[in-house]
Amino acid sequence: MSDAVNAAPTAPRVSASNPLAEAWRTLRRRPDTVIAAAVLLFFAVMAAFPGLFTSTSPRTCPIREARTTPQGWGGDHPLGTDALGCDVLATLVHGVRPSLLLAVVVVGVSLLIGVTLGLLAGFYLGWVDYLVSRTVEVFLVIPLLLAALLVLSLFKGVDLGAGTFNVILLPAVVLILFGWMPYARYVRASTLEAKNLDYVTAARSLGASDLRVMVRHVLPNAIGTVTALLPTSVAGVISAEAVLSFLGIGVRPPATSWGIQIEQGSQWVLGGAPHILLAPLACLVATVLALVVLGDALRDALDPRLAA
Amino acid sequence: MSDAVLQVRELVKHYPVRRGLLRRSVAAVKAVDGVSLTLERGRTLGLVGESGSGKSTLARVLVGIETPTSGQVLVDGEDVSTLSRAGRKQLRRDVQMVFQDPYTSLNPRMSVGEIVGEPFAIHGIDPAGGRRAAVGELLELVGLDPDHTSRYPHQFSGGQRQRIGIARALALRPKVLVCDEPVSALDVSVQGQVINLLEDLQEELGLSYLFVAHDLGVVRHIAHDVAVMYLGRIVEQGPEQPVYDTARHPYTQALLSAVPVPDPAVRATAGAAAQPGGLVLEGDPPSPVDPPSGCPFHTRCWLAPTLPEARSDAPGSRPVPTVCATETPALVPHGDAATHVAACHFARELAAPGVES
Amino acid sequence: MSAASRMRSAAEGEGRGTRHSPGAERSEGEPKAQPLLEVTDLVVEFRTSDGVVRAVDGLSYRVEAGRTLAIVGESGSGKSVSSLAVMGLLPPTARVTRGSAQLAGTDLLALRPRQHRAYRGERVAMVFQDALAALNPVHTVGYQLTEALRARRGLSRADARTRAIELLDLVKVPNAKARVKEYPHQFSGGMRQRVMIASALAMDPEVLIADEPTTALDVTVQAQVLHLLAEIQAERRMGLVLITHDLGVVAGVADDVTVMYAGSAVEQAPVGPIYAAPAHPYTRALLRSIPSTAGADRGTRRRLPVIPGRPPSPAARPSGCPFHPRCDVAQDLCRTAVPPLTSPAPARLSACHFAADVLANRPPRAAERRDDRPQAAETPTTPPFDEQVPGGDHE
Repeated sequence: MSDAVNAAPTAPRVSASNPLAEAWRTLRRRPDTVIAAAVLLFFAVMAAFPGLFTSTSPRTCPIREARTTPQGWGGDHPLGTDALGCDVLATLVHGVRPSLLLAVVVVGVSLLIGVTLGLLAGFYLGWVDYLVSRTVEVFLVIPLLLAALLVLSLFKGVDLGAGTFNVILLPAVVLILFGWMPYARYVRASTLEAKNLDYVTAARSLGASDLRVMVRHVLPNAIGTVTALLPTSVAGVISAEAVLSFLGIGVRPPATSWGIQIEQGSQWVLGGAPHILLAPLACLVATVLALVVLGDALRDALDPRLAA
Repeated sequence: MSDAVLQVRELVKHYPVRRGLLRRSVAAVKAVDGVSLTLERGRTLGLVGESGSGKSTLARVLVGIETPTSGQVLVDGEDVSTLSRAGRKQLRRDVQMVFQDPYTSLNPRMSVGEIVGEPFAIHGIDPAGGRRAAVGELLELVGLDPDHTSRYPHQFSGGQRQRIGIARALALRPKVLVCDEPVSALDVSVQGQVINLLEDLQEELGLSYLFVAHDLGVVRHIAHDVAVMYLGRIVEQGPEQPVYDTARHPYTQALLSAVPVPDPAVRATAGAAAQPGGLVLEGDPPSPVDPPSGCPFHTRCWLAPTLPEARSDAPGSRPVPTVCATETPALVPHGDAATHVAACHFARELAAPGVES
Repeated sequence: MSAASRMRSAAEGEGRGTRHSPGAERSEGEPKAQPLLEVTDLVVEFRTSDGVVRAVDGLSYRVEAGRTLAIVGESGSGKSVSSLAVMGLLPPTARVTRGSAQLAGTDLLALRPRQHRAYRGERVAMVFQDALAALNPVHTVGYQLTEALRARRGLSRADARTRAIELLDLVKVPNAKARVKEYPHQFSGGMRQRVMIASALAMDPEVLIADEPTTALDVTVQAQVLHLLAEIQAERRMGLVLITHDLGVVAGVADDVTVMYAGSAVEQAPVGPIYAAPAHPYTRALLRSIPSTAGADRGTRRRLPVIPGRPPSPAARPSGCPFHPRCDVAQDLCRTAVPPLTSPAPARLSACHFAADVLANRPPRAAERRDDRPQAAETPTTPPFDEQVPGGDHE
């Protein structure tokens, strides 16, 4: 018998309306959510229209102006210049698109692969689980750099073009290849938990197909743990891309990205030009925090138990 | 034989216990070990037993969540196992389940309308007047407000949630409801409401219930017939009145005497506190992986050591008649009604009513 | 007016002279036993997103040596919360805002957490419902039984082992010598609950609070555990507080009963009289709604008498008497005035405006006793709010 400790918060409520409308009302009541949304919107606009934010080209890099300290708004280089004399603001603004696109593509595709495999493994167990689990372990063991080199040699000399999407293709492939495992593991674990719940059994006793049970009943209640993983994965992807660009399979010059900037800037932190690092790092941190807040809010809003 | 809506013949459900690298099956949990039952149309069969007795496994086999290891399940005379996949799905509509825990048996992310309407969606049925109207009717049938379809389970109390679960089970117009401890998670004052609802529905819709419960009082109230399970087998079975009033199996008697009676006077007359009737069993039920030989109850039986035939195999061990430890007793009629059967070698010794207080 | 003062004024103000404490079922003239634990006017509040919620609202009870007090109630009645408060184990969102719990001259509720801990286990111990969750799976049973002993009394390893075996013997775990070295998962449900009881007894507490100790157990095992508890209590003259929802269990082991509803006691009395003639409509309805194995309703299957509606959430208590929406004898008065705990007969307390009528099992004759009410209220209003609509919004 539960007592007041559990019983207290479940006062019956009378409001009953469209869950989406209710989700939106909940979102609005949380100011942190609004700020987070504004931050993301800001970067999205920046990615779509870099010209709005800077008129300087990130490719004009007079070496004599290298490591200029930030001059503030109105100056030639509001955020200073980097080690090669390129304008930090311009690089930053033009780096948004490949960085965010890469993050979204990598996280999205990894999630899709991971969730599907994890769900199948957890639901059917047996040989499906054996296959998926061993594959996950194999991929976890292979070092990322080794695999990156392999992919690099495979694609050597292949011209991928210079469109934004082509520019991120190689790092995306490598990062997806080595990024889906945590999702698969988490989803498998929560599927194991969710599939024995009474309401899943209830659906099966009604004669629901496996697909229906998985999609309607197991997945919605198993996905929660994974969504918590997403915002930090975005940060992980952006910084991993920087490492890859060292090997020449990152975002290819002349295109630029936050990852590359952070990588380069980190060498000058103690060399008298911390701004080269701090500017892109601040953007990355802001993006990740915004995603964390928004992710939390979205999860709460979509959970009818928490929608208040 | 009269009108049997659900029959179970020699049903066995074993779960393999796998060990080692090759996941070889080294033993089996004998959850249900040869059970035969008949549920007649419009009646309620109470199935009682302690945890590990296999009563819940039996229920799950009957609604098709588990497949039996061997044996037959007949719905309206048709053997479920011989049917095609489509036929099984059709037949499955006839046997629906009501779950124990109203807090976990409803998907928290689905609205009440979606939950109660899901059976229609699964079976692609479009009831006359549309699904919405059908859901509203079902909610009304179980005593809920039909306008509450867009609410979510957490907005309802335990008793109301159990009603939602019942509405979902009724959607496909089943002939049989398997109720697995449907009121044991509810408050005492709400239990009665759900029991009365089930009785009303039975009358109204001509439903047959297999009512699985550990609460002997609730079972006596709702059931016409009772079957007592112990370690995967039925040890006593018969109409409610003779089973409760003149129980013939020592386990049934112990079970009945262990039920706390809400009357302090009983304690006073029985003398020892918390020991009305004086039949306190020793120990816990043995593991169904390795059930005792012979009569599964002989290791805890209070009657066996008192019999003149009892002898001890080894010094210090419990004295029991040899036949109890070597031969599995069959269910044979005892007492006045031919339908009242018990599986005990010494049921004759119990002919005198020993439990009636 | 607080519940305690209500209780007092009820006992004295009714002009019956003697003060009737629940459980005063002993011969006249015997000196009044000093209670081991006396809880007075306990109020516990929870901070929730909906504001402050009162889970326990003015609860008073006393536990005497060698006697068992059963606290009976449904979910949300505050029965568990009240004992957690006494133990100092309330969750951080809860606060004791009023009342005292006197244990041998010390008010437990006034203690700081550190000091409270010293009393916990030593003087008052608690047994929980879920023994599997309450035992740590990675330590042996023997280690857990004596953990506190070694920490507080500085027992050596060998002494602790001997003590652990003693304790297991005490709770009749067979083959105790071997079993102290085993882990909780190797014990069955009933045996785990015995281990829990043993660990609660490790420091020889004067009062043992058992919160639904047998709810998770099978009936045959429940009988064993209840038997054991009664035996140990009789042997040690311990005060036992048994928290349960099962009126059958209460009848079997309790000496005194406190029935709780919506955070407060609605009826307090010795066990015999309360079952024979309940003085509160809630107790009466509860007793009627239990299906019996004795087959009183044999032959024809009568409808089970039920209490309409459901226990109120602590966040939304009805006005007046909290039971009035579900009560079969509710009057106008009940909707507005909170009934005090009054004493309709010696050794009986009931928080019902019409306790005497309920006790005598006759329909309430409104007002008379509540002198200031007009004669008009004499005709009982019909029907009590909740028509027997199954479910609906009321449940």
